[in-house]
Amino acid sequence: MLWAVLLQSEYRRVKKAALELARTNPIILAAIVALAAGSVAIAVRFGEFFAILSLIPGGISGVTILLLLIGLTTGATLSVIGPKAALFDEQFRLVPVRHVTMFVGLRGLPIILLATIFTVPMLAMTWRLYSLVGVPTPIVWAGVFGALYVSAILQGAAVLEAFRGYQSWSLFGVATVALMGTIGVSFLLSFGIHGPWVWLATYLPDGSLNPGGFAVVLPPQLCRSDWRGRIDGPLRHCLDHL
Amino acid sequence: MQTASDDILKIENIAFSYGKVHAVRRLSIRVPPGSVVGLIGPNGSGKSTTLRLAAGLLRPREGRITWRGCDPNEVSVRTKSMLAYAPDVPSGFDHLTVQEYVRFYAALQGVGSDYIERTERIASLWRLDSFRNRYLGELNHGNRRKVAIVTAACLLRPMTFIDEAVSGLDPETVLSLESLVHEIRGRGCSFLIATQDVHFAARLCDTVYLIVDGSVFAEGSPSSIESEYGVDDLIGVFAKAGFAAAPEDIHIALGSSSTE
Repeated sequence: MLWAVLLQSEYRRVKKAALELARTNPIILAAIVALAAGSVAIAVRFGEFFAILSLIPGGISGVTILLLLIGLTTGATLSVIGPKAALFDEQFRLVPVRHVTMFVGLRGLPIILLATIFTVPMLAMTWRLYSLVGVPTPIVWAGVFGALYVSAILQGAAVLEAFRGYQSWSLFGVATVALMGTIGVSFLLSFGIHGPWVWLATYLPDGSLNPGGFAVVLPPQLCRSDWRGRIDGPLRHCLDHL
Repeated sequence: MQTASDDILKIENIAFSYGKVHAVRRLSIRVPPGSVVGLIGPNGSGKSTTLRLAAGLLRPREGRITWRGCDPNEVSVRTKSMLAYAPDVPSGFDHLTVQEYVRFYAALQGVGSDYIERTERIASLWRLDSFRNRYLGELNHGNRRKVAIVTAACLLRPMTFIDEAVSGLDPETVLSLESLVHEIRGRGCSFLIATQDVHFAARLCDTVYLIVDGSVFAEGSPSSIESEYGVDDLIGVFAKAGFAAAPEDIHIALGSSSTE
């Protein structure tokens, strides 16, 4: 009920602001809409870049690092734009619920929209990657990437909060444990049967495992001729030049 | 016979600064159960800061605050469920209607339909009926404060804080607020009220603390303070203590011109 009311309040606030902007300065409103659409388009391209990156040796590590960086930046950004306790009057700072409930609700829609825009690259990457190699979804790695991204967002927010003097050690602790845990799982998975190159290697014509348990895959080997026919756009361009 | 250890709120020698500005200096206050305690002082005297400190919203630089024996800064959610606060300038949730706000606040506080019905009855007595479906952001300051006071007071919490109690309220509502506080006090609840209206405080409060520059310079029942200073009302205490500008000082400060 709380979230519903908070989101309803936020929807009214955003709607009122948009209507006011449309009435007084429609060009700015159009620019904001264009910027949002452009951001999504750029994010999709980013996803394609991730898909390409994941094909080259060591690329999965690169994707992991990029996801970490984007997640940390997203978390820090959300922390900057997110509401603070000072926005609430004393009546609400004394309600016996955790402030995060109201924080997220009070600026819920813009934050959800922003987080969605930033999440698109990851979704686009996984979709592109799987359609590219034509294999079933590697659930484990999709989950690890998702958890990595979310925990990086939490960590980015926690670090920035600490820098700004709003130390929330519980948030910092949860974020650190989540991030370290995810990285640890990712690391351990690389040694097991779910290693990133292992699941790819089983579908490759010439893929093989090296003595350490890692699959050694070269990009030209990855792209069988029947797969190449299904690839177009920048991916095709990139693969043709590999 | 009540002792100091029975106090629902005890503030001992607290000090607090906003940067280099000392807002509160070695201030001590006691709030016994079922009492109404008033903080009276001019603008910037430290009343609101004292209320925020007492509620655990600020942490004192020195001194100690105990709320039923607990530090309000140490026990958060459970302590909060025994407090209510009506701020001087209510803000936030401007896009909820009054009716939605009452229900939303009830849900946040974890109270049931009894609270909603009670609040709506008092709101009706305070002539808020016609504003039920108006957004909070559309209300004027007085009506916004009425909503804040009603929603806080009707929780019937052991301790209720009201900042600048009569600010923005019409005389009719001020009288009604006095009745409301009297009635709730009769049920064993306590109030700590900050106000600049000495007559309101004299009628309502069991004990008042007169504050200037973050320090208490007089405390006791309104009548005892008036007797002590040999004046007719509490505003005379401020004048006699030298905290109000004398008429001759005003005359000199204005200069001799009659018109500009």
